[in-house]
Amino acid sequence: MPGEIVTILGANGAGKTTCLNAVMGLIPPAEGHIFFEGENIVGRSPESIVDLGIALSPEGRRVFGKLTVEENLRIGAGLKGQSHVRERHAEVIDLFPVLERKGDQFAGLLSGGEQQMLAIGRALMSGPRLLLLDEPSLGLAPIVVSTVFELIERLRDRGITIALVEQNVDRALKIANRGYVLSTGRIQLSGEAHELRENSAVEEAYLGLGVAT
Amino acid sequence: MTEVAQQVINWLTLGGIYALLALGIAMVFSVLGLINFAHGELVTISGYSMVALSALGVPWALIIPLSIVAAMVAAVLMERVVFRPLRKAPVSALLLASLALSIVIQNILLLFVGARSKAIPFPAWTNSNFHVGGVVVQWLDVATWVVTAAVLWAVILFLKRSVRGLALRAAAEDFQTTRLMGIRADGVIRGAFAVSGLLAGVAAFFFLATASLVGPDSGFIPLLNGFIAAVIGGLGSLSGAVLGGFVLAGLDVFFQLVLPDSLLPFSEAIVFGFVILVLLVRPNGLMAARSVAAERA
Repeated sequence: MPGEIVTILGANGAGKTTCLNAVMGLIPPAEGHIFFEGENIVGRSPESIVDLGIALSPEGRRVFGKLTVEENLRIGAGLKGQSHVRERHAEVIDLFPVLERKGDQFAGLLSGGEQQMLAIGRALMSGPRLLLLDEPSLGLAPIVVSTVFELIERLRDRGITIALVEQNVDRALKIANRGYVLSTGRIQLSGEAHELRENSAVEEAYLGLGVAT
Repeated sequence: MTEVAQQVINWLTLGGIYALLALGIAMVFSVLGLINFAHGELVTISGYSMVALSALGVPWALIIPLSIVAAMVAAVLMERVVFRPLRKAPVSALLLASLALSIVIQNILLLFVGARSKAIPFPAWTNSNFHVGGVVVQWLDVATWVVTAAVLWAVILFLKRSVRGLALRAAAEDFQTTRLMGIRADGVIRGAFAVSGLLAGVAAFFFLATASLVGPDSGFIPLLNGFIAAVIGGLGSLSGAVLGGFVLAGLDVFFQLVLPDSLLPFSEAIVFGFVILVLLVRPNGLMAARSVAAERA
């Protein structure tokens, strides 16, 4: 559904990142179809999937450490024209003022939280309607984690649909509309986020205790 | 004093040529993780196109840009015909393919053009010189410096200021993430080959002008020196490749200067021995870049 946050949860190795990578066309799905706005996107290249309006902020942030913050943002817009770049850039800076202050720094020198903001900002530069966030809170200090989650809500309020992969189950379910719990590559549970929060099976699946099927 | 000045001139000229070659090799390596062993053949192809064009009576003012274009086209074709079908293969397969390509090109030239080197009728100015104090300066040296500096400056501007250059640098750092930015892998790789062809084409003029000859195996020395310079600088590091070119040329010239006559025939062996020493101390080269091969998913 447009404008909602869907969270994908599960233990390590459950297939969360694989799922996002399959959506982006980085790896072929083992089976099945992936639909975006009514179109089956399986078999498309990552580049053309970005053109359709999907962007990924990858696991581990993967900012270009040897490029400046500004250059990271610029490359996020790909080969799109100047007016697109200017418009998006203003939006991203509005969301992350710190990225403007540190524009000339090498991205590799930023703190973890700043790198995460840069990774999200870079993904936003392509102007996506669907934003995939892979573990945006990984390795961040608790206070920074809060900032990141607030940010995700602000992005949703701007009308961007978000698919959020998280290990931080509580926080993720708090801001999400719906959730899926994966275990060994399969959906074990799904439902409204508030229902999942009350379901003890979520915790078991997350801890890898296994869910009776 | 004069002797030293003379050697500094030689160093700058040789260093410029090596830097151009090494940068071309490093450019492709940084993006694809491939050491293109057919890079030297770009110099050869550029040389043969000079022979062909001058036989047709084309003026040198046109031969120079056309021979550079020939190297660029050859480089892009190499990518399209040989390396692209192997994109998903392991890097070692690419490496072997480049070696095979080098041999194939050499043998095509042997078969259809002949084993004997062809004379390239370089314009007269390349063989003229002037004196500063007691030092003889070839006009070719001056041209090498000016053009090398201009080309390196243009490549830096391209990499720093243009979006395509930015994409190349991003791809050199993390190819997969660059694709996630909506930048087409094919375009970036083709761009890297085109630039490496341009650099080889420019280097070809200055490299071949000294002997005024081109043969099927003319690419070997440029490949060897360009490759070693790139390794000294740290494979994959573009600034390292340029630095490596001047370091290798410096070693060449230095040993030419200090070795007694009896050892001069072995100067290359001594230079390369010294390179091994450098690599023992700094195994990743002077400006270490991270391993691309490991990252190329």
